[in-house]
Amino acid sequence: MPPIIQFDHVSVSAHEKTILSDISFTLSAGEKAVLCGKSGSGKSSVLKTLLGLLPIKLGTVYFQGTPLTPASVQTIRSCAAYIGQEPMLGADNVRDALILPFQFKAHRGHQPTEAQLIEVLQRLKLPADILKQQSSRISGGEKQRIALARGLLLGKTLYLLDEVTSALDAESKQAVFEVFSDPALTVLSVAHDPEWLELCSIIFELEAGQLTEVKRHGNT
Amino acid sequence: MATLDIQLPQMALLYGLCLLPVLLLWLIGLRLSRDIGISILRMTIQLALVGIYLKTLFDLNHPWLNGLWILVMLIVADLSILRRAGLKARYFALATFTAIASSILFSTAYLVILVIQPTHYYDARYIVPLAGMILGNCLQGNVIALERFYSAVRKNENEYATFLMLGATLGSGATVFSRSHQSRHQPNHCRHGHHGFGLAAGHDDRANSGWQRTWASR
Repeated sequence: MPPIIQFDHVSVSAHEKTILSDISFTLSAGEKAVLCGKSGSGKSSVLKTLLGLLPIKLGTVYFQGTPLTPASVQTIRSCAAYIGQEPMLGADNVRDALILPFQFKAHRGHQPTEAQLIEVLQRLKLPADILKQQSSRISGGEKQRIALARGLLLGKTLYLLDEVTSALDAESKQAVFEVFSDPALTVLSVAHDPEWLELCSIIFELEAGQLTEVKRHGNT
Repeated sequence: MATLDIQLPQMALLYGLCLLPVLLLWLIGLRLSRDIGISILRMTIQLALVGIYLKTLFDLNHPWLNGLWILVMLIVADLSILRRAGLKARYFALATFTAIASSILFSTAYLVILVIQPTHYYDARYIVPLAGMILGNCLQGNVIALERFYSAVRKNENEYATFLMLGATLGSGATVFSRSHQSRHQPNHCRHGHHGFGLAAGHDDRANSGWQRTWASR
């Protein structure tokens, strides 16, 4: 079975500046990986490249064994959930934000029930009445968990997370850890949080756009 | 119904209309006589040229020539819209041309066939000025709408990317993105309306913007 994600000697440039240089790694189903490195080392760019938001200059990115091209990028976008530090909810209130993806053709007809909405909120230690709240009035940590809840409602199995625990308190962080302890979920993340690093089985060290070290441990 | 033939001396009296704004601007201290003079000169030349080519088209009144002229107007308008909106013609020209052409041709055909009902639908006296007026009124609105939309996409790249991540196609993502930015664009719609009514020969929006800047900087 091919790895879910494979970077094969990938180089990425934007505005005539090299962002990633000769990056190669693989990630199999169920693995949890974290990209570490100083600010500007290219961690977030790896995620953006994978989502087709940055143009690949050299090399190939494979998703489930298929090369990533402008034509095939929709496949990974529909399979992966991307959650940034300050996720965009894209709707005025939380309920609309949660059901937003279900108005797109890819997910139409699978709209979650009220009970499913509440169940997923509870898993992430969010109160049910947050559904009525304005998106602009909730905290950064709540936004991150709403974005995560949206991914869970969509049944996503691949999560691309950019500092997803940065705004979470200990209890919320624990709830997120429990969600990602599910062996069915594959995670490629960017983080500095030592607790998050513990959760991940693979640590990719990046420096100035280059992959300098890969550490693996059995804590999957 | 008899038509009135306005003589040149009476036509020249139209310039008198410009005296009032010149006087008002002078009274409030805006020294724009030179800009206004250039606008009046531009208007005179444009209208004179419009008169010459319209007379030629009306005299010849050939369906293919009229169609060709409307096609030229559409292409020029399309390229002008893209240039002023700062978009690359090679990516957008066909899409914007299709949108402009279909709406202009439909509106003109609707007016000519259902409302005016001339003997010949291709009559240059009706289709050319009508298509030109509708096109002129749409022009500024299209420029602003396109420029605002793509500026918003560039500025809120993450929001648009989020929609793509949630399963939207490029088209459906753009629709949701536009909807979520609609309230922020609402005041401009009124402005578009104003521009639609305000556009006339000799009108130069860049000069107008300059005037607004001058006013704002006081």
